[in-house]
Amino acid sequence: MKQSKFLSLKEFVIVLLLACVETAIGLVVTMPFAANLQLVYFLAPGLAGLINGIIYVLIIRKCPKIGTQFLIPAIYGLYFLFAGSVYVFIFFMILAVVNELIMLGGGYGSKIRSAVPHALTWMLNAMGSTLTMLLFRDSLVESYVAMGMDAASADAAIASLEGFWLAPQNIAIALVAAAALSIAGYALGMKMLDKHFKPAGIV
Amino acid sequence: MGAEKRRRFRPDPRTWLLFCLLGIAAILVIRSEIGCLCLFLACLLIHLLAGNGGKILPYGLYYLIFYGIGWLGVGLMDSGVAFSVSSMLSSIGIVSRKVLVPLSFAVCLAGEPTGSLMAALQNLHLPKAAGIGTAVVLRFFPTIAGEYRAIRSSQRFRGIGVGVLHTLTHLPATAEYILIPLILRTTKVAEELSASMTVRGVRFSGETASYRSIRFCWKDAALLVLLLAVSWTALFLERSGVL
Repeated sequence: MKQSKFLSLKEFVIVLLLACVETAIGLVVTMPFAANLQLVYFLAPGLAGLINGIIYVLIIRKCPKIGTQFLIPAIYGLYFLFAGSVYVFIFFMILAVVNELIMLGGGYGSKIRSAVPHALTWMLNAMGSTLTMLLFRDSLVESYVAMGMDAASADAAIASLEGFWLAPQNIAIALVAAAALSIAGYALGMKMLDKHFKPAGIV
Repeated sequence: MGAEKRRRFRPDPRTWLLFCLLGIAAILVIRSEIGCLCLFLACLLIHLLAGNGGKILPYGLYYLIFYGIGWLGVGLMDSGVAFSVSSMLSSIGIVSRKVLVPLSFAVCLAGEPTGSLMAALQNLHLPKAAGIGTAVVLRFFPTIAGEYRAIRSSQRFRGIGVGVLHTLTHLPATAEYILIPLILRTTKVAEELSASMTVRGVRFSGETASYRSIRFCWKDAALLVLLLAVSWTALFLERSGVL
């Protein structure tokens, strides 16, 4: 029987649930670092990419079809939508389409090409926090003032924050760290595939 | 008792969905502290009118806790203590308080029976995949938490990840022993869920009717108007410099 290029209902549900697990891990990994600016920016997205690499490899091995790459960033983007960051959600939806395009024409057959969407997702996640901060700039100033800070200090505090989030060297460090750890996660996923998933008969 | 149960108003799933979207839009445009507080109070009032009075106290407590975190962060920032920590604390406090509004509606949407949710999304003429996706995603997050707890308790029984020190010293192994069963369990749940969906006729492409009746009545409209009115008033007062 000829196999469809698109996800079946069973595959759709598998990708959906595993993408939910990826999202939950992404959030849980960030929590211990949430009180430190540098760790949230430079380490947390990459660490999430490292752990989620295992799930990502399983998803693409189990469901190498059109729709898989769209669902992973789309589900993660939905979290940002509920967190009030509509623009970040839109960026994730654009990435979802880009990831699908990357994998068109036999992308699942190439080990290197398969790693690119995963790295891109967690690189965008690193930038997602920056965008969220930018979108809530005015709101943060007003909240600081309402909580007892004078307007000038509030503006100065936000300027310092922007100086950190938007410094080119910081953006570069965050992107490189996220990309390197995500690729390491992908490699780890390949190892786990042979160690656990193939013997368990999952793939 | 039965008649009382029948009379009790339960908002339509579409109402919760619209509340979610409206809440997201409102937290994006309303920036003042008082405006956000008004929005949160309107959200609590809606929960009260929708028969979710029990949720008001926990949501109120969350709001106060996040306000405290934000206030602490701003206080530390103002006194120049550990900028990286204080700025993150203030952001967590401020953003989390805003997120409470759409999130509280999303929790109610997730609590709707799957059949009602699917029927409501079908009535909105959304593609079937979107309906299945929404129903599965909203329902699955509590399942992950349950599976995680079960795996943790079974690993602790075997002496894996017992205590913070043990977990930190054996972090990669502990993560592997927790993550792999979680993934295996998730794929199993997904397979069972898709089989259950197939049996219930989700793949049927013809006209379907819902077992549960869903109805968008005047009470749903009134609640939506209430949130809309509070949001517009807060926004108007904010733009005219009153708030």
